[in-house]
Amino acid sequence: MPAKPGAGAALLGQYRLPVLFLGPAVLLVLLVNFIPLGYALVYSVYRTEFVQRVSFLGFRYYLRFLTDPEGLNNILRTFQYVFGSLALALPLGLLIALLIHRVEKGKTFFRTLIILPWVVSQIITALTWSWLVNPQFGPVTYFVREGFGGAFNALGTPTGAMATLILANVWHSFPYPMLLILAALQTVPREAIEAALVEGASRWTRLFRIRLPLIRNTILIATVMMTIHYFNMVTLPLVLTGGGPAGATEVMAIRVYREAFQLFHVGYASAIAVYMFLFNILFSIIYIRILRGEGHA
Amino acid sequence: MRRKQQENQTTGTRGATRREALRGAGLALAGLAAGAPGRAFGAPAVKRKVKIVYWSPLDHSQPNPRSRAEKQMVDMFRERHPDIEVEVQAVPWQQMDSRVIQAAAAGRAPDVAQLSTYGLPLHIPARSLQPLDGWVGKRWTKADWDDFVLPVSNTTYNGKLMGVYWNSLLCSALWYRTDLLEEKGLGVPQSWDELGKTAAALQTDRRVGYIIGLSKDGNAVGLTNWLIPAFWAAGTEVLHEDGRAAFDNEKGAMALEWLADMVYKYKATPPSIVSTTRDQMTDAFAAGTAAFTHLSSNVVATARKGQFGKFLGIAPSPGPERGKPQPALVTGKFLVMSKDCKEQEAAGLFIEHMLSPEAQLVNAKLAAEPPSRKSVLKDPWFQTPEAADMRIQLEYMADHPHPWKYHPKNNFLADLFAGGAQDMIQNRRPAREVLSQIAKRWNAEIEL
Repeated sequence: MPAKPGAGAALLGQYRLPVLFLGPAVLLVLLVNFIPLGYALVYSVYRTEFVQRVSFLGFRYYLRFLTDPEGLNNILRTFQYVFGSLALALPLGLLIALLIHRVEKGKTFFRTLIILPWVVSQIITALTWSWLVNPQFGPVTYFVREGFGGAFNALGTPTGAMATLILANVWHSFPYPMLLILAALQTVPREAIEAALVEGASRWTRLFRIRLPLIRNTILIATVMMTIHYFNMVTLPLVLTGGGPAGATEVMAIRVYREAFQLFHVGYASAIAVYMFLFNILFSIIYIRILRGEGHA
Repeated sequence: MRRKQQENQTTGTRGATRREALRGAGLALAGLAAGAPGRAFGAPAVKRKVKIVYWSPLDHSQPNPRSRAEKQMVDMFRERHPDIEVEVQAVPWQQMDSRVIQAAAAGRAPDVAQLSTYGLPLHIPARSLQPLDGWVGKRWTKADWDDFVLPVSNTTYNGKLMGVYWNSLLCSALWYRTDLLEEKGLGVPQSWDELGKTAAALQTDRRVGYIIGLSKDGNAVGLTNWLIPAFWAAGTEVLHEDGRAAFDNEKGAMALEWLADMVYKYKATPPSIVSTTRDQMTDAFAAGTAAFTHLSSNVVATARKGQFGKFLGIAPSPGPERGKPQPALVTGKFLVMSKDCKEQEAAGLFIEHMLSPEAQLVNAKLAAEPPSRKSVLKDPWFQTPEAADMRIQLEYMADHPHPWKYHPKNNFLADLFAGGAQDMIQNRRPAREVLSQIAKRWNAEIEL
């Protein structure tokens, strides 16, 4: 059926304002995210020499990564790093948000103090922690050695290096969920809490039955954001452990960095980066489904 | 085909000229060198006001000796060439090669850059540079060209001069604490075995005997600067002429095995070296928490400024046999002109200035960097007590030369060596097995 004359113009007029507002942002996202992603997809199916595409390989790099023991190690280490960090940073962020929420005086001071690690750049965080646990002259090493005796070698063993990396990351990133959760806690209706108090609900009941369910969506959004952030982190692990020892902390992001910018295997690095993108999408979908599912329930 | 040609060139004719050059450096040092030119190169001004951008690994705002020296060198150029503005941008040395290649791919590379010791070959297939022919050295005589400590053939690819040495760099010498040896009445170790025993004797709860870094950081130079000459000392080359692995044999394993012995047999080195970087080696020595290490000539001046600087002793790196030091791994940092340089004349003048005997002398005096020019060594300063470190290093370079030119895929090889060495220490894997695995992966990489 032919459109009514002037319908298109009316439609355009109706959406002109949203288009004007959203257009620049959409354009920016396209330029900054989708064009590089497109390049990565193209490069990932070519054998490359530096940044030149040499010959078409199809999905050989994708297969290589999944069949290469180093590739599987990278995936395993990434999961350890991402979920190990999440498992500590989220509860810590929640705990501190709950504590600050209860503070009557000096809330701004504590909030500012606790957000400082998040403000510090990843490179400074990494250098600070590497100095703290340096096996020759680090103060942590010194106190452990003096206090407990024996050698302390935080970055020299696979378990110690991953644990240190996760701790450094948690220290750096927990203020982010803390801030989001603190903001969400302030939106919990006072009436709901007062009604629970009248009903004689205990502190734990108020927390688990009222506050947490009401800020559940914020916690899930923080989880999505932090998962993506941790997956894509390069600087902190690269500077703190360099992926070592013996590949024990070589997460996928470090592998991409090394393959692309140190070894100049741009095609292979692109294939690994596409896997990272797919993992990010996958986990985002899972979280969103949980969010929607619980919302419907 | 093109790559084969490059590899052949990389591993091809290189031995005699370098040896002669290094010997020449030693002779010059002893005041016996023939009259190589000590004058500044002729340097006409450019015809109009221009600006060039120089990427340096040194931050000129920092007070360390190397930064101060380079700043002074650049300031000298600014005084001589007020018509040329030089903007110096600091780029971390670990990232210099990749940044230049990325910038060149985007058409935004700097006019001039100082590349790391292993970096130049990487840029040839990456096509990130332009030849210096016609811009650098066009007024130089044969004597000028022969004045370089390291041969120009090292930086010539496909008949074109792609870079010039900004300095000479002894990649690895033995660093030791003179006070600790004196205290125990011990001599400077002359062999790997002696180094293991002496380091163990100097070890305490708060000080490791010997430190080396096996981290992949900075292209694993903490390890490879020692390992490459250790292979030579053990009696094997690193690569064959065609680029394939030559280290995969018992001799190569003997070199790598010594590292494992330092950890598990002599117990003079902690297993934490698997994650130690080259910079942490320097820091550990400066902090007095290591009695021995292997480090390069370019950080001597900085170490001397440290708390234990006055106790720093430098000696040739011991080899497997007593009295036969490891051959010296000598290279240098390079000055190059990127493919995006539009002000070639100004950039050429700048490069020529940085190589001039006057500028090289400033670098030697302030930063204790061995110069890239033999004639500089004739300056009386080199006979002063302040130049003692330099003399030891130059003599080592001259007395124990070995030809070496980095492979274009050196980064990959260094990465494999570091990963293999970590695996050997961490998982107690035999050195021979580790080297075989590295060789297999390396050969597959270059045959791609």
